[in-house]
Amino acid sequence: MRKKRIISAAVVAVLTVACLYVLQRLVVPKYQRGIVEGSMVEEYYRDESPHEVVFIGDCEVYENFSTIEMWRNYGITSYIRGSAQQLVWQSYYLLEDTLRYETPKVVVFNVLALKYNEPQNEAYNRMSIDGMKWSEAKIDNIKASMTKEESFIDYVFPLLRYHSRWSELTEDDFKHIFSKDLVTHNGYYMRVDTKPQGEFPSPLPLADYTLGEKAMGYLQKMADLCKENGIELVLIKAPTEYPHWYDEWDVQVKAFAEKNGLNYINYIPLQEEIGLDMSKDTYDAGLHLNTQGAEKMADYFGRWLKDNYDLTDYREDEKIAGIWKEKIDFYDEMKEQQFYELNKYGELKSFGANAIEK
Amino acid sequence: MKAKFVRKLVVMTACAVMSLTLFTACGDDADSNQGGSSSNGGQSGEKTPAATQGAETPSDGGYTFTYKGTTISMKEDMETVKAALGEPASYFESESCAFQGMDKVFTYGSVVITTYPDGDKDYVYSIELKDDTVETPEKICIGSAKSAVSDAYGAPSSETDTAYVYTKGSCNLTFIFADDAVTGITYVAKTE
Repeated sequence: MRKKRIISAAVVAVLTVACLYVLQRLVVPKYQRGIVEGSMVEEYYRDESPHEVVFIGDCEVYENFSTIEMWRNYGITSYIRGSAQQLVWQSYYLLEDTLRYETPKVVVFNVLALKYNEPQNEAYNRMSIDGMKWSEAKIDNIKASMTKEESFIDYVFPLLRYHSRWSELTEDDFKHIFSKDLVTHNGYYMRVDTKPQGEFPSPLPLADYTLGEKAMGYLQKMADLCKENGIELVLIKAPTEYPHWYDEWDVQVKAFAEKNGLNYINYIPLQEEIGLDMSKDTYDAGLHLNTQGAEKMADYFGRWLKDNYDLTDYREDEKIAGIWKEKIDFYDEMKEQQFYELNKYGELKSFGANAIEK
Repeated sequence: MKAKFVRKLVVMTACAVMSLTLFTACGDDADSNQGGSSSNGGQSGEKTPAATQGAETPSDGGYTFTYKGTTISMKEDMETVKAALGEPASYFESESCAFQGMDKVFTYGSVVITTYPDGDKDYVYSIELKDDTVETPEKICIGSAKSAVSDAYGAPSSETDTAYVYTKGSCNLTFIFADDAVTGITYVAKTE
């Protein structure tokens, strides 16, 4: 009788945990349409081919560099570990996380995020952190990123945070409860539409242009971690001009790069040399490049990488080339679909922020 | 007998799941849409108030700016401001990264107001005074002497080599100087 009770209790406990797990999977946001940026961080783990170049950073990396074009033109295997408003410490911990799986030859970090010196917003934190696999890096990332209103336990059990979504569940929540579709191309977020760059508002004068201690501290940790692992760290400022990148910030990053023996390239003054035409190469009036612009940027940057670092042309490797053939097919297919919608409706319907989750 | 045992297990499991689910539902019920409501999205350049803070009322004692008889506070609903001031002379908007909201810039003559989205509304994030045709309620404008700022506002809450920052309520009021004269005036919503 006692044995039966113990078995019953164990079975009930296991079933309860299983049910709660399924419930949790159901209510967490899936980021499959509309706001797909929340899927980016976890997609990395599905990519089993090695990467010689890894980008880390905010939208200025995942929207401005076509990884597929870098492969096509130079045989560079790259991945963008980007996420929306990725803060410097989040980039650092994503780098630590990446090193658990591979050691790239080059890590590229976009410096715009240095303007943030403190946690900003839960929604962005979630999109940058939730997709990480559990590790010390994820725990440290949560601790460094939480706003005052957040609690650690909500990251451990997302059901606590998202339970109220039960009343707004969509078809996608059920469809993608255990599996998700890829939304990026090795981290690159595709947009083929065009909205010409207009005039930007003049930048707000600041009381203090000094980049924050915490932000610069994590940049130093990033440089040290790369050095320890024999990785070349490259600092870049993407060619887009808004949000404003102050000259005073640029000077500080240049000084940091010099002190640490790093390459730093600000691409804003190089728009013409890259071949960018901001009346055609941006989809959101100059904030980010569209695919045409991202391919130009990838070509320019890929050539620079090939000229300056000992990167392998993997197009000669049958196995790797086979994997990338599938990536190219997916890329071309999505491009074709986006152009189809653009031609038919005059705008994208299934992609971008306006796409409604089913 | 066996069927009865299985039924009992199912009932017990259902009770356990329901109890735990109800327990989680007792917690914070903040906006849960795709991880929270929208904010700046890293687009406008500066830090914006965390969306979870929500909009505060204009009556938090912070510095305010008065333009054409309309007093504007940080985190005030922009619709209220627009209703009083009318359509701006120029307008700029940019889509927030990963969100379906817009960061907006409204220019009224020599006054530039930026907003941040929160839910369906836009709230005042900053006000910049561009030239000496407008002044603060304490009579400071672009070109005023540094000493006039001290006389009007007292000792700053913080200062740098080139700026005084006065903090009150949900507002940081910043005066930027060059050659002991004011070259920039901004009201910015506090982020923490």
